[in-house]
Amino acid sequence: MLRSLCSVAVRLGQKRQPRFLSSTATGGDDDGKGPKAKDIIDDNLLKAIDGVANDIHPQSITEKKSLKHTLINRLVANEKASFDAAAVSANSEMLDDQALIGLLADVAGDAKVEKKVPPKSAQLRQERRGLVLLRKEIFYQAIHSGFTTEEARVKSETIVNEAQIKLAEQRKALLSDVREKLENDETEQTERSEKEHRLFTTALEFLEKIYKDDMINSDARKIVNVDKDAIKFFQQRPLGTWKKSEKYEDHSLEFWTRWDQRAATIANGSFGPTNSFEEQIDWTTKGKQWEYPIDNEFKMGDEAGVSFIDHVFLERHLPSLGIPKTGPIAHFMHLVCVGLSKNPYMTAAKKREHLKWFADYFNTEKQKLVHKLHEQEQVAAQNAL
Amino acid sequence: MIGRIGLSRVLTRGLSSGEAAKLTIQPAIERSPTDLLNALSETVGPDTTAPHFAYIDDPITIPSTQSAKKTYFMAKEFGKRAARELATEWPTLFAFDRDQPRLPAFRPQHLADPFQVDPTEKSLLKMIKSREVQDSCVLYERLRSENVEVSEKVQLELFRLVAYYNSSNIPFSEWQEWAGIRNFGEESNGKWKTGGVADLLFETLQKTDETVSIMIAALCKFHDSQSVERAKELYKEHQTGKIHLEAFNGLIGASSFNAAKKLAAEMNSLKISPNISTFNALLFSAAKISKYEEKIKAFSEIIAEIRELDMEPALSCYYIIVKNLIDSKLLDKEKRGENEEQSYNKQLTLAVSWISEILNEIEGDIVFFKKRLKIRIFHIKIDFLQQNVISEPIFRSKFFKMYDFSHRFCQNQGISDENYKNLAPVTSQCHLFFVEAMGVLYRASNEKLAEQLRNIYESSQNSIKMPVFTVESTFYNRYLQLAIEQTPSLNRIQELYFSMVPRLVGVNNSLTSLVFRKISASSERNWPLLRRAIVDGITAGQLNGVLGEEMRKQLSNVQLHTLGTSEREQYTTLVQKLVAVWIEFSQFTEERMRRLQRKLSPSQISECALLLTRIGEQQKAYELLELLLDENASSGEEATVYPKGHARPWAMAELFEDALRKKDTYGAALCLEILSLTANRAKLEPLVNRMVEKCNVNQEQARILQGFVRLRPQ
Repeated sequence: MLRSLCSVAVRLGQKRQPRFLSSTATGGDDDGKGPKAKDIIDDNLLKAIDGVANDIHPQSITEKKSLKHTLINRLVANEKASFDAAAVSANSEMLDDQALIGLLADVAGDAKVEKKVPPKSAQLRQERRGLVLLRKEIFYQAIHSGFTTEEARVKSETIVNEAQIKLAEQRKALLSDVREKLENDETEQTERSEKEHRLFTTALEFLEKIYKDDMINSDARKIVNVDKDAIKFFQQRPLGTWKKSEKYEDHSLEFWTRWDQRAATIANGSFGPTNSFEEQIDWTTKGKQWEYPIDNEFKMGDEAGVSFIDHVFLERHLPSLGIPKTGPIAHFMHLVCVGLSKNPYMTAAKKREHLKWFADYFNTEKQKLVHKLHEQEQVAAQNAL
Repeated sequence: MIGRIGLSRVLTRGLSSGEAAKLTIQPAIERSPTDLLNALSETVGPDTTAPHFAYIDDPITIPSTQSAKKTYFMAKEFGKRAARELATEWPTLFAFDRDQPRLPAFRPQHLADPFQVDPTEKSLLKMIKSREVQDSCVLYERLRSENVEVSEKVQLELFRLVAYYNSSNIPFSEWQEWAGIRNFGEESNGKWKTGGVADLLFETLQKTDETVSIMIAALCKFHDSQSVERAKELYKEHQTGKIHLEAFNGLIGASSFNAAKKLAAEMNSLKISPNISTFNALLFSAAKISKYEEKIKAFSEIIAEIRELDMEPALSCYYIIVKNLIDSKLLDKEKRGENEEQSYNKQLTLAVSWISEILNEIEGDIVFFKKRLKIRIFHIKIDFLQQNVISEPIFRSKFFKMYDFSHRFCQNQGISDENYKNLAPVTSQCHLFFVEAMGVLYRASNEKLAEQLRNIYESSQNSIKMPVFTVESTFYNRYLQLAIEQTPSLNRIQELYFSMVPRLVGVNNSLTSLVFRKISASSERNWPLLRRAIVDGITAGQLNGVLGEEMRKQLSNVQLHTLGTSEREQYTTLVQKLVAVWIEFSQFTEERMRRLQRKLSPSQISECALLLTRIGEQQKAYELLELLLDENASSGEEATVYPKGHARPWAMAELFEDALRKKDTYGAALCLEILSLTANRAKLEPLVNRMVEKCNVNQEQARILQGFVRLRPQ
């Protein structure tokens, strides 16, 4: 919790104005003294100044001192001016951590800039602003979590103070590391460039920690590239258990392999269809859609195998059913056959059943009766004329 | 194939127009009902400009965050399931009962109740076939209690089912019909059910190679320490027989690497051919090696072994390796010490190098596949020409030459119809390789390899798909964040963001804040990107909190004169919308709505007022600002403003200047009053002087103003 608060504090501070790189080198609140000349000016230069002072005032120690002092002050002021100019432009780039990395790389090449101290007042102002914002944020969050305003106010104060102390401690700890390295650098001039490089790597890592965000790490993450000298993945010796030359048999449980494959296929199904064709494929396989190519006899059932001849040409069944070939019954049955042949809703078997029923109805007795009645009708018709 | 037909038509027509060549009608090609649809689907593909197909409905409902996607999908799916349940219960209400053809798909049936069905072997077999594991168990118990004879064959079938699924119903991951449950359903990590139907059947059935192998494999599949012990005992007891591959695979996976190697040697002596699962199990046991160097050596040896046997490692093999290349205890940055940091970097570098090799290998396969595919199409064309045009003496010699050339080329390249490769799922873990590798590449910030991985995943030769709304989304989220991080160009960010959000990647806080950070850091201007990020933020509910503040900051940083006319309109609409939303949130003062309420803070009010002034809505801006001076607005039950905090001085200064420019005495006075809440007399005096100078202030008013300032503290 406290750590996240710290990161919030840093982020909030960063929002208004990015932290100066060398804030890490000044950092702690107890660091009231200004930068030492030694920190700013190159040692060679200092030596040169000594030399000049000795040359000009070989005797008088006080004059030598005052000359040295003036020279050093002039140089410090000069360096400070150039740093300030650089810091202003660097300031805008600081927000972009990508740019920050670039900047650090540049700085690693030229140690002078890093060694100087940034204006402390700006640093403090920015910190204060960050803290106020943080307090506010904590306060709002506390309000949201259901505290009363008074409780929230107290909470925001205490939490932020704690966070501040913690942050200061962390800084001090890291700061002392950086300081030690700085001092070492000064003593070992010969290995200077190498050491400086290391120092800036440390500073970079430290900065990375400061800029670390909640979810994503800072933009200035290091790119890890392929190492050509790394152990090769594909060019190693095999385990040597199985031999290529030998013959092996497949001795697997067939169902187990099949079911594993089924599980793999289902897992590969993602979240179903990704376009309407896939949806139609899905419907087709589930039997919800008529299959392509469209066929109006789709899933006709038993009738699929029945020819249209059986449906349409029904009169050919009449002789075998004992229906007379002429006369009123033949005429009537002709009409029945025409009617049935036009019915699409009846199966052919049902149609034949109908014919059978009529054939049973027009049995010999009925035939005779019909014949008799027909004749009577004909006689009656003739008489009527 | 369609190309082939087209070619035939053209050629036939071409020839018939010349000499009276013999017309050959090709026999109809048998096609399955889905062939045509498949061809269409492959041609069209998914619409990359629309949301996922599952969400194509009313545009207002398109979800943009991960959780909204999940909620939507599940709601849809459960709705479908509820409808199906109703249709099962009251079928006549939903289906016109005379419809022809009668489609059983529209008449869902209740599952057979094991207590109601006929207690016969046939019913049991039917249940086994439909994978109703627990129902089959119940029916089996019922058959036994009713003394119905169950044949050994059916018992074995049941044993297979209950052993494979641990006497439980099939896991969510194997639900074919319901994709939502399949992917979002949470599985309980099953341990072997001792004393279940599987154990009972194992005791009942004869101890054959098959039954023992099934039992061992099942015990290892649902492993805990006890079940693994039992599996090992069974293996020892059954030394006389020859257990099957799956049992070996299970035992290998559950053992240490040395024991696994012994088991593999045993397999070799029994002449049992290994499969990919065997090697996965070996890799799994190698992953348990504690010494890092030995572990990576074992990994590479196993992969070499697979290739030695002319097999192709599945992506699941690579997944296991990539997953174990970095020690899990080193993954948390906070917990790493100095030494650990070094070994972490070493391991990460190795992981990146190996992933690079794997990707090159897979990509090589794909290139190889494409080459082979082209040659195959060439062959088909030549075959056709040979059949149809060969009678023409002019063409004859030419075609034979081409045919010979292509065959010779294929032989030289070792290409035949059988050995082409394609990425297809071998195990259910294959898709995890992509997301795991992307995770490592994200850690390593290696965008180049991430891009290569993405290209492989999206290649048409890859048929391994991650579940879109869960794993794939993580994959693309990692890729997108990495790509955005690495590029300084806002145009590239815009291109990436527009193509992926929210279709592939749900809007999330870290992504939005990353985009805002990039916009702030860049010297470029990109209004469409900023607008899109804010609009997405609105739909994703990011308006309150830090991101809302960031949105206001970004909007106030927009230089209106750089925007075009339509863009300025968009700006206006966006500001109006945002302010309306914030005000609406602040007005949820009713008891039941209060948990949704987000009161306006003074800084928020000042920023909103500034934005409103920029779009020319001064009236509204002053109404908002008045809230700061209204005590009723910040106290009591109905409060809409936080009582603490201060208006932003820079925003107030700009508002004041704006009022002066417009000679708006009322506005300037309002700003002055708000400024006086924080500023002292020295700061306020010049403001008053300017006000008196610029605005039409009569003497009386000037006196009041000066009196007001004089009363402020020094």
